[in-house]
Amino acid sequence: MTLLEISGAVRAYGDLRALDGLSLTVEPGQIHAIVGLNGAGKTTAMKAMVGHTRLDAGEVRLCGTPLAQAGPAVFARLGFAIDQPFGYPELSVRDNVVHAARLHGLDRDAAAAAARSWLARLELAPWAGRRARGLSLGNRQRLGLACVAAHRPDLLILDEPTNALDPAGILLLRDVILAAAARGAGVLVSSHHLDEVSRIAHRITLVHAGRVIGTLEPGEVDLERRFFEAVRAWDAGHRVEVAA
Amino acid sequence: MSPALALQVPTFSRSLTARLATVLLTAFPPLMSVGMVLVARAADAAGPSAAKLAPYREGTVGEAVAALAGQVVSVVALIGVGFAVAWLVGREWADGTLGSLFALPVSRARIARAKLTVVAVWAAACLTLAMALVVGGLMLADGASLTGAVAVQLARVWVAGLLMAALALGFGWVAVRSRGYLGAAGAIIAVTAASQILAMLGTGAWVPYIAPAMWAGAGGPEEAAAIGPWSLVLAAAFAAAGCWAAVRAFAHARLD
Repeated sequence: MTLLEISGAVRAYGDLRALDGLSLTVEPGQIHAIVGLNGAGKTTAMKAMVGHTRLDAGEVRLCGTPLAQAGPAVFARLGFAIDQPFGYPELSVRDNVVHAARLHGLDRDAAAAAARSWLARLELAPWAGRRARGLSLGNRQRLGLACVAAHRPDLLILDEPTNALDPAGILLLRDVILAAAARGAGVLVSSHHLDEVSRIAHRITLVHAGRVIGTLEPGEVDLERRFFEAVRAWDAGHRVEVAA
Repeated sequence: MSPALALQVPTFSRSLTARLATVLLTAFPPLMSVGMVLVARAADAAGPSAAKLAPYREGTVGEAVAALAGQVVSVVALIGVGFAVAWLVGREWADGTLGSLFALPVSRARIARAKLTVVAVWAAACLTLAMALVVGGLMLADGASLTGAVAVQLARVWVAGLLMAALALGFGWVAVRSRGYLGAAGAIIAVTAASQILAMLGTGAWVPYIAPAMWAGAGGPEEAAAIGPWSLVLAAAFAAAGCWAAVRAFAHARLD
């Protein structure tokens, strides 16, 4: 079953069409990366997938269920970090993971066990008792990842998860994403780091001007050049279209 | 404890707003009622202060304390509980934590109800403690003046305080609509000021934010007698509507 499907998504803010017919899917076990320039529509698309923003047209389906009809059983299979990941500054690092896991459907004991496991896995154990507000930006990013992954979701949506991570953090993130896909979860990840995306993604979709304008082949050489070629080609074609 | 409540209890109890509001709700009523009456009746109260304190020398200590508590508790409940609920709801926008509450098995309606429940229980506990401190202080100051009539008046003040606290929960709706706690803080100040003006114009009986305070004696015994049960029913219904609106707005909020 397709875990995530967004089709014909349109979202306009005044004259700006942030999404202009964007469609994509995420299958079980697939790491699907979306790449694009700032303002391309990646984050808006992800926000539409979890209900942060409404669509003017189009549809989002989570695990085959339209988003508007999705209930606890569907949402328990989802984990996402968009804009600002889960994390209450006044709570300890451990408590944040426990509360996030409970809100995602785990009982108290399972949430506590998951928190212990994930704090160790993401090397946050030394800060477990410290309030989240005292963490560095990179460690807050790791905490956010622990909070969205501790309940072992079947679908992970991660918006620019490498932001603020140091090289060690990026390696940990890569392991988490690969392990999730290996157990059958689908992962949708947006990133500006084309090399990183190329290493782990099964599918790379190029988003520009609120729509999908092509794909890149994972492992392809000179990914950056191909990325810009595709963007420029679309811009050139679009200018001709407008002029005509 | 449900996951929604389990999250709201520590976030609220560790906030500076909750701690300051706890002091306001519990310490202010006994200090401003028992304390003020004792100061007014002290032998060395003289000069301009003595004239201002003169009303608090009328009647027995118990009667003066009950009358003063009627003026203080309702206002303190509205402001203290209002700021508390404004923070607990509005902080989700101010701290950028709202986004993580979407698409969860625990709905945002349940999270909003948990927020209001936590503030309501905390407010009831604070106001009960405050009234216990008023009674305790009165017994220490002049136990003989704690007559049955004074006790009934103090019980009425307590009920009015609870009603004002319930009315204050509706400021959660303003926090959602204004996407943060500052808008709600402004609304609390505006409602408090407008209530003073409307009370002076004599329209208080049918204004939800005034009727409980007047019933508790904030406007004097004659004004209190003019408040019928339907005025209080209206205030209670308005409080319920405010809670419903706050929950609904939180559940349907977007991050566009």
